[in-house]
Amino acid sequence: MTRSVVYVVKKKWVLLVILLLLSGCWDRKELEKLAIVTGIGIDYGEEGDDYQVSFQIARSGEVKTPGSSSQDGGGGGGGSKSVWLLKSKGATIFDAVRNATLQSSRRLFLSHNQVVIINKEVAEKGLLPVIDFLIRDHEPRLNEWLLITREQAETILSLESGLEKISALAIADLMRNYYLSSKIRAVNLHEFAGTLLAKTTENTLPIIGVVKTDQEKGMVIEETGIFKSDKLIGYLNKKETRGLLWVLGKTQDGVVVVELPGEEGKVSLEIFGAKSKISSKVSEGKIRFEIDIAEVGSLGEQTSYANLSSREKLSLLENLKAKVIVEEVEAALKKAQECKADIFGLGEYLQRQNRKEWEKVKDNWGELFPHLEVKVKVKTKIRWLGLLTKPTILEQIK
Amino acid sequence: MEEGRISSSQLSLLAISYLIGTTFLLSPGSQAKQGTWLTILLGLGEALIPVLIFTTLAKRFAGKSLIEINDLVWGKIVGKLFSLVFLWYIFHLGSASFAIFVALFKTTVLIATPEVILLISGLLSCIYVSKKGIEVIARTNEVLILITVLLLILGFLLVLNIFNANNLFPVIEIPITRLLWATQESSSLFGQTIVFMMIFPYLNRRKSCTGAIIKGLVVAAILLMSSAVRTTGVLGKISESYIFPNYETDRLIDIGNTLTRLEILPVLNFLTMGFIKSSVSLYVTSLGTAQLLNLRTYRPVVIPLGILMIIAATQNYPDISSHLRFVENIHPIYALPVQIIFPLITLLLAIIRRLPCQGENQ
Repeated sequence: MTRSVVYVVKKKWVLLVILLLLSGCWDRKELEKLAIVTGIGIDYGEEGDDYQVSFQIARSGEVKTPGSSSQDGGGGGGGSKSVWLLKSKGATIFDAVRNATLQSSRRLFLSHNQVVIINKEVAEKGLLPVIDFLIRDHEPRLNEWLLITREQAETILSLESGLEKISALAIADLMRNYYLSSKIRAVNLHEFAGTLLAKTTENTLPIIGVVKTDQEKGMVIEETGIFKSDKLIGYLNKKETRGLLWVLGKTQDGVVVVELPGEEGKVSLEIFGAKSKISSKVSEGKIRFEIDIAEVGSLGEQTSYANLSSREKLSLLENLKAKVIVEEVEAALKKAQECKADIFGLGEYLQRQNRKEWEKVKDNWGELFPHLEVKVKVKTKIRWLGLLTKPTILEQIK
Repeated sequence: MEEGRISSSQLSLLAISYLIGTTFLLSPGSQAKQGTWLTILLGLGEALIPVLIFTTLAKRFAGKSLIEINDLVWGKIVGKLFSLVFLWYIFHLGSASFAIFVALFKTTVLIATPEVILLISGLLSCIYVSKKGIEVIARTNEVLILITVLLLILGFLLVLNIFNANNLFPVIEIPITRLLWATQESSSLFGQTIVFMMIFPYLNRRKSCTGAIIKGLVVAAILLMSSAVRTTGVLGKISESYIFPNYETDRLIDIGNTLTRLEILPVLNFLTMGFIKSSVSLYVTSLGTAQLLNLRTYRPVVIPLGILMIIAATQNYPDISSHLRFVENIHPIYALPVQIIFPLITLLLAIIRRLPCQGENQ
């Protein structure tokens, strides 16, 4: 009896040891053997069809949290860079990824990639050949941000960010904080691919560019590109971009500047949030859309001397703000209609709300969209005044 | 041959695991796009027909497994033929779940590990638990399904911030014929519970089998529907392009940029539930083979059948696209004889022949 118990216990220990020794996966990846890619840039190579892919790889040894080392802070130019820009060529993206290992001592690891920056020419020819690998392969994530640039993509990745050690992470943060200005249309791979599959809705992607000062170059989000299917065909400027965001209901924050009639100076009105409602109506064979936007905000700043805190003045400001918003939305609409690209997803609203009509027009949507009648209605509200009740100046002096 | 006894609630839990085992990843009716949950619901309704037929049969011959019923009703030769077709079907289901296991692991988490290592390690645990008998399988399942359901609930809560209810509409976007086909697809999945015809004799209360199976069906359908709603809500249109939409959904989890990369959750769910599905399939195939050949015990045939199962898994599904084609286009028809036609004619003949005779029962 006791012997058998001992036997069972021994057997358990043997099994435990086996468990510890033999487990583990075949393709285990040790951290120090990996080249962690933080950003990918895609350009055409010199000879026509092949791609030049640039990888921004974090030098993990050089990336220290700010303040952890005193030598690093003061140096500025001193020491090696915290990223390595590796360029590789290939007939396809995957080919280029593997060709990169001709130069890199470590295996490229794409799971932590943050941004994919694509040259404008590649985008004009079509993005699908580029993003298929990024979706199909198991390593890259779907929440990486897609951006287009007029420069070479490698140039953008070689720029240094003012604050971050790794510029790709800085770009990703720009995208995440898009709402501070609501002038950036941030799109990740998942959203882009989903919209590609939509029958009528077209994609938009942010355009990143270079801003030059005397000594150094920085990066800046310039505008928004309009896609028809997977091809870049047009651009929205910053005003139009926000017009798009209003309709998509993605405007969460930002500033609307209005001018007071009959007074000097301007007023900045902060956006606290906005909602949009799109409804479609079909009458006499014509499709009409109505976009209702409801916005709430506060008085953020005034450069005029007038006391604006009375309800009448606030109502005036609300109307002015609504006018600006309508202008922005209409500008975006106009640009989209010029491009025949339904970037707002109006077709999908029609599909949900007027199924029969949609069946008739769905194959012809691109041609129909430019002639659509779209009414924009905006309701705004100013509920807060910041910390001041009136400008800090005596009224008589004015 | 099998001394273990299981309770009817254990049977319900086994039925849940068996149903969500592989389908949790390869969702049935996914060709219905946003309407996947609807086809699962319709499929559940349709599946009540085969379930009622075979449980009526089981109650009529209480204490007898399907193999023994076939022998009684059809005689030794024809009955054995029917049993053989049934056993092949269950064997095939087991090999299919091994094939999905390999497909998932080779494309997502263990890319470089050789297929054979994955199959053998999976098979070893299935053989072990099958040899231990139905009681052990049922009790293991009780623990594993608890983990699975908790992880499913957690998975649902974690995607609330990226869930977009607009993606769920319009519910029916496909022609009605394809919707019906998708319904049949999910119904043929629920009909797979016919595997429990071999386990009913080991219920401690034999009359409770219908209720237990239907309870299992309903819970499994709820779990599958919620997972379908979750997938379409998060992924939208793109979900139909993915082989494993559920896996992709968990890849997108992002709670405050901190809690991310949780795609191992569906893999874990699959690992536990797929293990139960393979084990039950292997166990039932072995038990059935032993009864077919009048062996004293089923244990010696577990290992050879298991090896055959993984060979079938590699041979029948050389690639994932043929597997998907099988699930979508072939299985709904392929399952019909075993799930409906054979039990139905067996039941009719039993009624005509007034079987079982008085006193023969029990």
